[in-house]
Amino acid sequence: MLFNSIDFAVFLPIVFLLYWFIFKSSLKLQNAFLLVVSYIFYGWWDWRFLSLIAFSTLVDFFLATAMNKTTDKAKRKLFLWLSISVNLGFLGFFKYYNFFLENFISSFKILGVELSASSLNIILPVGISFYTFQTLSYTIDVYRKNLEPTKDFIAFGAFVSFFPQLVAGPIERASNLLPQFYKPRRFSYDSAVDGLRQILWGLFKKVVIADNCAEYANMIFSNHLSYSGGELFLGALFFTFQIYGDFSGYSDIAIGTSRLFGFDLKRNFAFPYLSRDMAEFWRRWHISLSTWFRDYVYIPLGGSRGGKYMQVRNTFVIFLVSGFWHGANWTFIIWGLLNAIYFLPLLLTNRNRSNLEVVASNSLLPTLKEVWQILSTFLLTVLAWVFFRAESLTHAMSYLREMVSSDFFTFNSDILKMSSITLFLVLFMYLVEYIGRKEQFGIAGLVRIKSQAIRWTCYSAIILLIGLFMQTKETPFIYFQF
Amino acid sequence: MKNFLLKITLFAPWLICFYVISLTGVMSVDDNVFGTNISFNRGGNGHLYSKIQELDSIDQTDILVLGSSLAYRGIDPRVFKQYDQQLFNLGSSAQTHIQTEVLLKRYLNIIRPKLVIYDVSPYLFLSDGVESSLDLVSNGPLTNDLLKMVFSVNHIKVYNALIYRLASDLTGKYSEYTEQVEKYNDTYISGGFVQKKSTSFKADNTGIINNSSLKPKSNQISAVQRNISLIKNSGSNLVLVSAPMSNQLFNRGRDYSYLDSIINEEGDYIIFRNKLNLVDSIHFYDQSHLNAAGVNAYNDALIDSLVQRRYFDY
Repeated sequence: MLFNSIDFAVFLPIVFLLYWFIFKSSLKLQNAFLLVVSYIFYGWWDWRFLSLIAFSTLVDFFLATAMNKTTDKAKRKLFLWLSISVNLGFLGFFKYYNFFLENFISSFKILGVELSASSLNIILPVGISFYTFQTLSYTIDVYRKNLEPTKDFIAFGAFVSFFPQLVAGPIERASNLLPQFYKPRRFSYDSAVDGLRQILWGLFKKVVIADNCAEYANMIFSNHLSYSGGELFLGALFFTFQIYGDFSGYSDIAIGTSRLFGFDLKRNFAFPYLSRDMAEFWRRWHISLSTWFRDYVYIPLGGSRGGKYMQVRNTFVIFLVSGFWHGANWTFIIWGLLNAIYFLPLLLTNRNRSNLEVVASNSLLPTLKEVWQILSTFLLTVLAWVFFRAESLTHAMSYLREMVSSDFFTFNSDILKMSSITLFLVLFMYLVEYIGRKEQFGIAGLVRIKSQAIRWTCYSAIILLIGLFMQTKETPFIYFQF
Repeated sequence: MKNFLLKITLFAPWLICFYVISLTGVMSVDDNVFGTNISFNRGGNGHLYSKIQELDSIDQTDILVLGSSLAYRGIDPRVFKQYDQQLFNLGSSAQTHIQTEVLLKRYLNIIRPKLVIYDVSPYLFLSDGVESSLDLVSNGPLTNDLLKMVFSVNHIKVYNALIYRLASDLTGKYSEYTEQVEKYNDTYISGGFVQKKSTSFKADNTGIINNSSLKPKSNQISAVQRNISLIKNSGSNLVLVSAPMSNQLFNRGRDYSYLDSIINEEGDYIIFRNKLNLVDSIHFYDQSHLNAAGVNAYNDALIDSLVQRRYFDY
C-alpha cells in the first residue's frame, strides 16, 4: 500500500480510530492490532512475502532469547551469526543473487572461461533491506548486552513490521523503538497535530516535488544523447530533488503517521541540501542508515581508533557497503565510492566535524562563504546522483561526458520552459525548508504561529498546491526498491 | 482526542471554502498556467456545448450516434438526411463508455431514437476517461449521473473541473456564453457533426509497431455492457460500429480480435476497420480521423449496411 494512494487515505483513519477507540483499553491488544494492520499493509503489495517477515521475526526472537539464556560466549556468537546469516541470506538471495552470478560469469569470461548459468527471475520483496537491518540491530544489541531481549513476541512482531516505517525506514534501532511497545500509550493532541503537519509536508514533497521532477528527470535520462549539456545538468538537478522529495517525503509521512499512534521515530533527514561540506551532508542524509553503518560496521571495524589509515579504510568500506546496500548494480557502488572520495579531504585535514550546527543558526542569512560552501557541496551531490540514477556505468559516464562536452548554456528543447513551474515549486520547497531549518521538518515552525486562522490558511495553501500540481499517477517511492 | 477530532471536523469546512475560492480564483485568471491539474474548456474540441444546446430543443430523432471523435467527425447527419433520416450525433471528445452512460441516461428517453449507432472503436477501451470527463464536466448537463461519473473516474483534474463548474454556474460566469461555429479549423454542423477543414494526411511509417493483443479495461467493458442494456431496454434498435482506421494505424496497431469477440456477443456489430479500401492520403486527415472524402465513403458504406440489415428502408 502506497502512502500516496487512496487505499492508504482510507486505511489510515480507520486504523487510527480503531486503535484509539476500540483497542485503547489494553496495551497488548493495541500491539496485536498494530501487528495485524502492519501485515495487512504489507500484504496489500504482495501477501506471499509476509512469510519472509514472519520468518525473520521468529528467528530473531528465538535466537535473541537463546542468546540471553546462555553465558557461553561461543554459543552466543553462534546464535548471532545464525541471525546474521539468515537475515543477510534472504537479503543476498533476493537482492544480490543475479548480480553476483552475472559478475561471476563475466569475470570468468575475461579469463577465457565460458560458464553458463541462467539468472533467476527474482521479485525483490519491498523494503527487505530496511526490515532486515532493523531486526539485525535487535540481535546485535542483545549480543552486545546493550538490550534485554523481549519476552513479548507480539510486541517484537509489531516492532519488526511496524507499518509506517516498514518498507522504507527510518531504520529504527530496537533500543529506541521496541521499548515504546512496552509502555502504555496516551493520545497526545500536540503530537498528533504535529504528526499531521509532518504528513502534509511529506506528501507535498512526494506528490508535488518528487513526482513532477521525476517526469523531467526520466525524460532526460532516458534519452540523454538528444540534450545539450545544460539540459543534462537540469536533468541531474531534477533527479537530485526527486530523490530528496521522494525519500525525505516518505520519511516525513512515516514519522508523522507514527506520531498519530503515539510513537516517536528517529529523524531521517535534516535538510541535507543546506550542508556546507560532504561530512555535514552525510550527517543530514538518510541519518538512520548512516548511523546504523557507523554503529554496526564502522565501529566494529575499529572506527578511527587505529590512526588515519584505519579511519580512511573504514570510511571507504562504509561508503562502498552503503552504495551496495542501495542496489545490486555497479552504479550504486561507484556512487558510494565517489562520496567516499568527496569525504576524504575532510577526513585527512580533520575538518569532518567542523559544521555541526545548521547553517545560519544564529542569523537570518548565511554568509557569502557559507553560500559558496552550500553551492559547491550541492554541486558535488548532483554529480554523484548521476551514477545513482543511471541504468549502468556506461550510461552514467556517457551522461557526464555529454554534460560537460556539449554546449552547456544552450537549451535546444522546450524543457526549461516546460519545467519552469516545477523549478518554481522546488524553489518554494527549498525556501520553506531554509526558513524552517532549525526545526525537525520544513513546516514544523507553523506551530508557533498563534493565530489558528493563519495556521489553517497555511495548511490549506499547501493542500491547494497539492491539488493543483500533484502528479496523478500513484508513483511508488524510489526507496521501495532498496 | 475529542479536541483533536473537533479540530479536524472544523478544519474540513475551512479547507473546502479555501480550496473552492482559491481554485475558482486561479482558474478564472488562467486555467493552464497555475496548475497541471486544472482544465476547464467551455466549448471544447468536440463542440459538446453546442450539441447540448441543440439537443435541448429536439424531442425526437430517428438515429442517435454515440462515441468519440471517430463518431462526431465520422458520421454526418447531412448524408443521412439525403436518405430521409434525422440523425443526431452526440459523440464528444474522447468519449469513453463511462461518459456515454451519463449522456444516455440523460437523453435516451427524451429523444427516443429508433436506432442508436454506437461507435465502439478499440482504443477507447484503453482510456481512463479523464479527457472526456473534463469535456463533459465543462460542457455537459449537470446531473446526478455526471457527479457519479466524476467519483468513478476519481481524478484530481476532474474534481477540480467540477468544483470550478459548480462555482461558475453559481456565479453565472458563463451565462452569456455562445460557442463559435468555427474554431480550431473545425466547423460545427447542425446535428452534432464537426467538420475539419484540413484535408490530406501524409503517412509516416516510422512509428513503433505494437501488434500485441488489445486488452480492454474492465471498467470500460462493464460500462459498454450497461449502455447496451440501457439502449435495448429503451426499445431502440442498436448497431455497434468500429469506425474506419488508416492503414498506417491498422498495420502498426494492436491485435483487436479479442476485443471484437467480446463486442460481437453484445449485439449487431459492424467492423469498418480496414474494410473499405480507403487510402490514407485521400480519405484521412490524420491517422485516426476521416476527411470529407473519407466521411462520404464511410457514411455510404454505413447506410448500405443499415439498409441491408433493414434498420431503415430507402
